[in-house]
Amino acid sequence: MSATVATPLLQTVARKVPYFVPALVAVAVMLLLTASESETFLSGGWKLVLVYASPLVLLAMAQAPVVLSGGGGLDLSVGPTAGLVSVVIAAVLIPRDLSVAWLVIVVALLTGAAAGAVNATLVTLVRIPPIIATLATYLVFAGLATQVLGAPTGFLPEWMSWFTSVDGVLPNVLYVILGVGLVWLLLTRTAYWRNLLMVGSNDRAAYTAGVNVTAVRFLAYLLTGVMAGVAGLVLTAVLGGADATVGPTYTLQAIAAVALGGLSLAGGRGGLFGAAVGAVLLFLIQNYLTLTEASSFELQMAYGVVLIVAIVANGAWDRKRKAR
Amino acid sequence: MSTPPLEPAVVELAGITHRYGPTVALSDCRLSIAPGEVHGLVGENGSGKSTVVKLLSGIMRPTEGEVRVGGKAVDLRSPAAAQRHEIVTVFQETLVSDECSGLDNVFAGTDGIFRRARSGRAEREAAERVVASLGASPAILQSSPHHLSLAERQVLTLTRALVRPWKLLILDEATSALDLSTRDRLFAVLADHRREGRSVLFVSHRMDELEILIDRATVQRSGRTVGTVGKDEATPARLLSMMSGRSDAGEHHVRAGARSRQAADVVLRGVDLSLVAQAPAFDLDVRRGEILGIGGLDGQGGSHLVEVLAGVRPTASGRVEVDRDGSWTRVTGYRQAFRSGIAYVPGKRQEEGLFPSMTVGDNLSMATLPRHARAGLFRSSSVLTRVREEMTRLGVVPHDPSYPITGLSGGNAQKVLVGRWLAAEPDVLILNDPLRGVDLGTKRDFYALLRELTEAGTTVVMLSTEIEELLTCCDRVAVCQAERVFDVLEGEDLTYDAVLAAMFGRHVSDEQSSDEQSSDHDTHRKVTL
Ligand SMILES: Nc1ncnc2c1ncn2[C@@H]1O[C@H](COP(=O)(O)OP(=O)(O)OP(=O)(O)O)[C@@H](O)[C@H]1O
Ligand SMILES: [Mg+2]
Repeated sequence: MSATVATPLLQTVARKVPYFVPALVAVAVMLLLTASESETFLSGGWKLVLVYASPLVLLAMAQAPVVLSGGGGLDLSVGPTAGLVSVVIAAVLIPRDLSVAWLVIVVALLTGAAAGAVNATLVTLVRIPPIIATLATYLVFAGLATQVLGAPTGFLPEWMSWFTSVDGVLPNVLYVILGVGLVWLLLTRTAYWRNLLMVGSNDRAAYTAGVNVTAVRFLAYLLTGVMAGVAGLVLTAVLGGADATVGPTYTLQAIAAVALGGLSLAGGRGGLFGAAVGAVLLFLIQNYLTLTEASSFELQMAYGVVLIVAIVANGAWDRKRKAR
Repeated sequence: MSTPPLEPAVVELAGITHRYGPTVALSDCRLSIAPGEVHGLVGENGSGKSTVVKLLSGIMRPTEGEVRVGGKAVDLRSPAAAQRHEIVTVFQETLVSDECSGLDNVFAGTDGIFRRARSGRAEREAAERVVASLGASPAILQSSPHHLSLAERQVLTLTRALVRPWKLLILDEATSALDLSTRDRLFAVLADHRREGRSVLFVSHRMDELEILIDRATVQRSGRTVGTVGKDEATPARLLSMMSGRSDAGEHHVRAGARSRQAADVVLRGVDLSLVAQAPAFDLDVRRGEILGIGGLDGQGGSHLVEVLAGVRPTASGRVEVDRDGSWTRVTGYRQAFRSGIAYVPGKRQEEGLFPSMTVGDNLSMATLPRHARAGLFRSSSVLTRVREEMTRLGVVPHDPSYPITGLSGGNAQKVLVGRWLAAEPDVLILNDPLRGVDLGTKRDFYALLRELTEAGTTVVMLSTEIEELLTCCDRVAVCQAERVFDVLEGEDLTYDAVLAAMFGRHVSDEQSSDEQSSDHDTHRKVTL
């Protein structure tokens, strides 16, 4: 139908190469830098780095479904949700001796799901813009967590140390992350994946084609909540207890990680893998700056600069890809 | 006035009223579609055609009245519900997602939330069959649609409708984005379906298509149903007079006086121009004060050419130059072209033209705001006066600058887009298929407006997919074929057959020597059911 047009190399690359590759390359660079700065990193230090990075990685993954679902999709409350989960575990379950593994895990997932359902209802049924709705729930969940747990506690059941163990070939948290990834992978095999991308990139097209836009978005918020629940569980283990003030600090980092990972904040492009890679990248940058003894101001500024560079590069990449 | 349907209606609208806030888009609308018929729905811009389409497709529910499917009142509360009643629609806007593959665009919405209705393979086969029947390449299903042309995108939305089970297919100006050969293929496909007892609701402004295709037609005027006429009565003159309520409306096919311009007085030129890499180079002169038409089949370089002339798209080689007070200035980009007096009206109205969150007035005054500024501040009263003038000149309905642009009918939105650049009073106005989806009355006014502009010294370059339009309104026509200007026709040589032949890379003089080829021609002009 149309004449063949020779496309410039850069454009072909931008079209063929998956969205997460630039972030992956950046991670490789950061790994090299880190290894050159710290001798123990390659021989096992990386496992600990991964353990400390894991709450952020999981929260970035949690952020992905809502961002993908488009329509300004965003969940500011993921951090507080994770915080709330850890408070529920440490201040509600454990003092009552309800610390069996299965029960703690189920409660963590349900708490996350409940938080997700609240967001989903506000955004898709009440139709409040996501940034406002989840800002409200951010405040509510954070407040609730402080209410329940005034001061940090540090008593955890034995089994929870499994999450932070680095004795195996791979650190155990990696299995948690891979498990979440696997569930997501199965989900992308269903029609939900196509529904989600279609809704995220052009909701009018999706709606007129017969996709149930409300249900697809509702589910995205719910999934985000459940994953934030998993993150809360891991966060509790990594902290070795609960602290109501820690959760909220993760929210903005998780969103930055999603942008770094190559997901389109406008929705419809990306995936959980990219979000995870973005989180690892962000954590490695932070880790490297700490190794090189940068001050916390410099750290903050570095975050900001990295984020701007990532978003600009993302946009340029996208323009190349879409150029006719 | 109306002929009774022979069998019970597939779909029926009874006593429908629809309001958008205070705007009454439909009042007492009646429509009845019989099995196995192609039913035309015609009316001027804003007469409520798309509103009817939206009610039948489950996008909106009527304020009052009843939708009946197979004689029973139904509640089409969502597009999915309409599809369950086997009503499928191709909308006036080409609704495709750029992030999903063509195939996903076609089948999204057929599945449940998790459950897939078909295997990937079954999907591919079904879609490829439909795409092939429309004469398009199956490659459009594989990649994501960013770089597809408007026509190819429209093939995707047609495929989306045709792969679903349907008894009523609604085409809301779906043909206006198609090129001739695809359109003819579509008509042939529709003929087959019609024989199997399926019905089509066909919304179009193109009288030639209506004449070929329809069995009956219903006419809308300002939201009211004027009546339904049978094929014999549905002549262009009759339909036009029913649409406008005047009796003289049919007589518009007068060729505007084409004048030949001084060949020497060139205002814009392409030198050694090559549109895409490896395409043959050519020269093109645009003469001061002329209306130069650009024709050609879709994908043959027509829209590349206008984009290159407007500086929106870089040339593969060669250069475009514009006359600035006697010296040639090279066109290097869009802004620079605009400063050199070239204004460009893009073709994809949704994506490239309008600002959906703004009002009609804002959209109209966008390009000219700086002129109304004093010390960087806009004088809104002077902007408003200008906007009102422009809206009157173009006949934008409703005549309200504060109306949201998304509340305009498709044709009226197009008028606003064109009007924005007219307001900039450019030396050279380049239009990429400006009258897609605009009704005949407005088209006629628009041709007259272009004439007026050229009288005042403006030069117009206009791409059109309709040969009739090129003949009616242009002084010369450059026909693109295989990414170059194949021929420039003017005066005596500018005929329907010559343009058509050039679109296929032939000269009409070659054609006349061979009877076989000229009958080949006719099949492109008319496809009968
Ligand atoms: N979303 C909306 N909000 C407010 N008014 C609207 C909206 N959609 C349509 N209208 C108004 O309803 C009337 C009918 O519009 P409709 O789109 O049905 O016209 P149409 O016959 O399809 O015209 P066209 O040939 O230009 O596509 C117009 O006056 C239009 O301005
Ligand atoms: Mg319309």
